[in-house]
Amino acid sequence: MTHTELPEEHTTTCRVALVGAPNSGKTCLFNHLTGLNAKVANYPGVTVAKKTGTVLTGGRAAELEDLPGVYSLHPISPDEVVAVDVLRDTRNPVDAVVVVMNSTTLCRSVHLLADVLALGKPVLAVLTMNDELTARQGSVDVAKLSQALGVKVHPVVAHRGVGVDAIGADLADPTSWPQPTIMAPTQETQRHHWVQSVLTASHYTEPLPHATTRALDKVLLHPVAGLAVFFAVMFAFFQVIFTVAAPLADGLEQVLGVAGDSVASRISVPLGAAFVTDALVAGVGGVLVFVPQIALLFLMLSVMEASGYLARTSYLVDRLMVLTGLDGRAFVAMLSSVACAIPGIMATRTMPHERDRLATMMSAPLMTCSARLPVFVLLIGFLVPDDLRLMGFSAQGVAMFGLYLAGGASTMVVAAVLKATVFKSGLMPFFLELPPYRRPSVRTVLTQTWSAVSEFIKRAGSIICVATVVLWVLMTFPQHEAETAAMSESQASAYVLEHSYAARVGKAIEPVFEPLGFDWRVNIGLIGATAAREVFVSTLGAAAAAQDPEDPGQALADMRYTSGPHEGQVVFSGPTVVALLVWFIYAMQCVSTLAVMRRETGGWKWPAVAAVYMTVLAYGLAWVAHAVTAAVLR
Amino acid sequence: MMLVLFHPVAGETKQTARWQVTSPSLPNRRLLAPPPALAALMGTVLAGVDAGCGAVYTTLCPGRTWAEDADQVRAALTADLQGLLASGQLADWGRSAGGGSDQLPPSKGYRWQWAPADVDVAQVRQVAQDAVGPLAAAHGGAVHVLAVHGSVVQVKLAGACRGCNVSSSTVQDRLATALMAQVPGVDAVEAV
Repeated sequence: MTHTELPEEHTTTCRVALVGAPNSGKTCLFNHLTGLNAKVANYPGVTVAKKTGTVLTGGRAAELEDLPGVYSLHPISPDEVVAVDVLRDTRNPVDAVVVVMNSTTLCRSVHLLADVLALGKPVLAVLTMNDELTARQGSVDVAKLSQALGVKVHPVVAHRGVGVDAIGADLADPTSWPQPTIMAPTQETQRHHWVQSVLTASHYTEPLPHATTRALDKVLLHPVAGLAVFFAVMFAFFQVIFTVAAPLADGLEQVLGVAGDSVASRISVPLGAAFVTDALVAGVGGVLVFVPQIALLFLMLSVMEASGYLARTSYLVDRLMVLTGLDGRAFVAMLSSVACAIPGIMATRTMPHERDRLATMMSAPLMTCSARLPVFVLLIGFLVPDDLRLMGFSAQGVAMFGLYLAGGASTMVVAAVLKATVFKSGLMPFFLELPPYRRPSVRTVLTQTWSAVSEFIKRAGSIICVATVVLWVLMTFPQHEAETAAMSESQASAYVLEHSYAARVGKAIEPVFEPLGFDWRVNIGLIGATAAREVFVSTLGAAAAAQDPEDPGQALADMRYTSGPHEGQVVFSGPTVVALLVWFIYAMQCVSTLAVMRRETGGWKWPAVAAVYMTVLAYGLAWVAHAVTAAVLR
Repeated sequence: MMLVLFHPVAGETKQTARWQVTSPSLPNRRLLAPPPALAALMGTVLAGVDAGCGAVYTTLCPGRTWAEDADQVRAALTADLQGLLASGQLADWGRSAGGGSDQLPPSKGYRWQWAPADVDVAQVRQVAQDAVGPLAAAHGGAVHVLAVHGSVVQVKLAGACRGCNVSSSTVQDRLATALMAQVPGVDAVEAV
């Protein structure tokens, strides 16, 4: 019954909006109805823009719009405005509204339903979280609730899809939905009494507080123990990245290498073979080998989200956030930026104050996003031996944890500075609904992880691949056949690289980056990284493979300065690697982030400000880091 | 202080509204005359007012619509229910009608004029059959409505229901709930 594609004979016959409080199971229901995989989480504020999907039912097609979560139709933040605008739009009106009511917080849901009914459109109610209501010894008589409200009420267990088909069938014809003849009162006290009366008539028993949740929260929300657990969880996670994902990544690298060699050996044109081994395998493949790390990162994030723990971290960190002058809403945006700054910036739409929103948007790109992960893994590999242990822990894992902490701390500091200066404003009260802990649904977790992994693979196949191929071409031409005729193969490719178009550019900007220890090849990588941070890894991979196709990893570690005062010394020395790490923490190397900032702020002013301040910070702090590390190592 | 809580549900016709009163709990009786605030709307806005089964029924005059008149009817009903609470009539009714006799809710001196229990026996039989007939039959029993005395319905539990404490109390409770919610005038069910 539910499909995502529309067979040609069907035309959309009606537009139905899906409205509900944050964290009411709305998006989960949307996914089941439309067969789409919109992101679902156990914390409020995940749906910040509307999504649409199609439900085919009884030969007709309904277009379903998943709106951001709202508690009422009196919006206070931009994402709530989105929902209300769609509902009140008269030029392109929705035909009907499905209201998702969380049965564990029915009082509030009935208030929202009353608001929606007042719009005068056909309304259908869906009662979610009934399994949880029963488990917590609450109850409601659905038939009586439906009678009292005057609308059809469908009880569902959205995450298992129970009861969803019946809703799909009803979507075929909203005009047939029963509607109350008398609307709920609009005056506040009268409205409140109406809600009480409806709940009494439907024999509603409020659920008991979730026992497990209360017990867990005693520890997990404790001001000291809670923060300690949070940091321990993050620390353990980065250990897992290096102990579990790294061997998988090595295996993947070998498979790609063998596959590349076997393809290359069948290509008779030397340049063609070099393209496969250098640009595709060592370059794009060098990025693809990070799939296990990316998968693990998103697996962890989605388990934390779906279980309800991520919402707690906002609460825990809210205490620290107060120091920055922002609240837990900002932290939700910053937390999203761990995956990618783009959803993070979109999440700022839940913030009611423009100043707070801008301060968050300006600082969130400093959070360590998943595109930085491959770069950090590569660079940490130069700096920290993989068998080094610190008190039994993988030293590489500890280093990675430190980098994430540095990213987080920098975000907070920048946000605090911005709030204390340009975006001065009072603190808004922050209410966050802490959902009960729930066992994450395997489907939700796997879908979310897969969607992140496939997004990463798509990036590798599109923007990263294109940028790498362009850079490979620039690093391979001109060919200098006359000069290299007498040289050995590796000497020849090193000569070509050093006299390529790319090298000219890399060398031209060498004076700028010389104080940070970056040579012309690193500079080429940095230029590539403006397209996407991962291109840094693929570019260096391609450059190293050109020098030693047998073992590009070793070639990269052994890369030496070809000129200047450090000629002959190893490029990836301690000071250079530390400077590069610092550079990647701060530099705004993401065109997509700038584009989203422009869209969200409605102009180029703020993206320009972000690009400038982040570049200045990156350069300055990388220079300091280089100087300090060099002094320490001397 | 006790709150006045009610909500409208669809009535039999488009012009009728059933205002389900969940607080205070009303006597299950019809009205002899509309209470004062609603009475003031009679003729212009309302064509009829009645009560029973925990609800107050209002019927609009021809040509009026709920979209324009719901608010003033709601306000009048609120005022009348607050008046009812303040009058102490419900407390008196509770004291005098405790046993569930056919006694009238006290009307004298109060603004809500309740009618005597005048129970429709055919309706009682129909509701009894719908509400507990299948349940009793499933357990090999049957429920017979013998008579109605005032506001009390007398039933006889037959077959397997007889002598079984659990089934008799289940059947009786369920029957009483259904009758009081659907038949005006019923206050209690008695098994004989």
